[in-house]
Amino acid sequence: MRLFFRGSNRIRVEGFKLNQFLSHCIKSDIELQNIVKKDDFTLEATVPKDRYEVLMKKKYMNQFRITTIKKMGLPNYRREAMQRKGFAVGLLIFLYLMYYQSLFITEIEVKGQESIDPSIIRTSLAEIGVLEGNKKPKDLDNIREYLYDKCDDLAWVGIEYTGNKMVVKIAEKAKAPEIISYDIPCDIIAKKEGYIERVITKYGTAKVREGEFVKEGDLLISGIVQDEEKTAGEPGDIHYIHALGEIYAKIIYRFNITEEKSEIIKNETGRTAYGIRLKIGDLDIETGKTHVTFRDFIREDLDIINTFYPFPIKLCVIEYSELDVRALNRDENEIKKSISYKISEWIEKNIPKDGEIINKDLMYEEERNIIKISVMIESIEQIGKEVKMIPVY
Amino acid sequence: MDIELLLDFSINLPRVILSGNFAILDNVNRILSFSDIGVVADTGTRFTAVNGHDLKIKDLKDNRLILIGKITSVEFYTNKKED
Repeated sequence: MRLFFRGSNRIRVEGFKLNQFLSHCIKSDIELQNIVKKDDFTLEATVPKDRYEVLMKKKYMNQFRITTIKKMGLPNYRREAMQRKGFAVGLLIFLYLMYYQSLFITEIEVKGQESIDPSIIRTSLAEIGVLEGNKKPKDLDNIREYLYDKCDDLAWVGIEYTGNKMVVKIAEKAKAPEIISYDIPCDIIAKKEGYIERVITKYGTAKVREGEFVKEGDLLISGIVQDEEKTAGEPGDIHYIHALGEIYAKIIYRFNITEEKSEIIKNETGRTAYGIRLKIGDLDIETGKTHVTFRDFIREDLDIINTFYPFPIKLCVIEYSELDVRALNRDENEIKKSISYKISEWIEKNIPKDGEIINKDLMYEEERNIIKISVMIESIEQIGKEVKMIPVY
Repeated sequence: MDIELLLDFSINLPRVILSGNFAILDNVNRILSFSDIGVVADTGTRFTAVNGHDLKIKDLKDNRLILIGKITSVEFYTNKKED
């Protein structure tokens, strides 16, 4: 390493009495390394660049023929680079282009959205000039604030760069249920379809009876209350009140889940092949397609050049690793466990916590490698939902 | 005087540090012969010969010679002053 920075020359010394050459070097304090005697009249050695100049000036060196075989080390490389100006300029231009293209956004990824359409975020970003192909903005706080202004449902926005890719991470606000004040007239309607099990009316007029089937949006308890007839033939007064009550219905859920009877196991065989992919604009050349004969494989792209702007060039080496794919029959208990887990997961996602499951039916059907399970679940749930009403006077 | 101390400060005595695969010779004034099977060096009051196979001088600097290769024997030749 020391010699690398100092620079060194590999020399060939030819002459009689080579041992005298070595003795002279000791006396003249000339360092030699890796001395190899090729034959009785030839030896090769490495001498530091500064000591080489001293060595060549010594008179006794006239007895020997000294040839430089190779120049090594940083000073020599630097000199070579200076001599090859075209290469140096090309390298500088290449480095500049690499730096220049790193100033642009190649891709925008939106993560973490649930109900917000990612296109809304993209459109908002485009409005302030954050687009694929544009320069990377430095002030990310500004972008964040703009997004908060544009989308009320955003609770948090995080922006970061992964290379030339902009990753926008968002978190949405949890929607609070709408609470209608008691002094505002409202009806209670069904939020799900089902068979009415129990009707508990506190205020208002019940419009459904037990055992009746209701669809989503059907009126369950009306907030319109009419007084009894004052006199014969004259209708009573109409009052608009805030309907209150609980309506429990039997909801029937039907869904299918599938489970594979065998498990696919992929093992790497250890055989690998390499290919090169060159993509310039729309032109895409991949050498691996022609010579890789593996039936199953995984591929890994190792980027060498990946520029986006102003010249979209992608050059990468692709490593193909062969896979041995086998199907193993799964244990019955394991399949049962997996089915049970999937059903529990579905229930947790779709049935409210206050729902009471009263019945669960499973029907199995086998098709080749797949087990299809039809699930029917009956649960008792509170289906009433308050909606404002506009009184007609 | 302690013999180790004497060796440390002596510039006229042969001194060899030896392992199976390398040898360090100190106080080397001259090389008398050099080949891949042996090196003979003038180390002050005596000549030192290191014999072996595939010998190569790794470094020759500041009167120190570092030799690598399979070393089989080291010999010291008679006191030059006595000759």
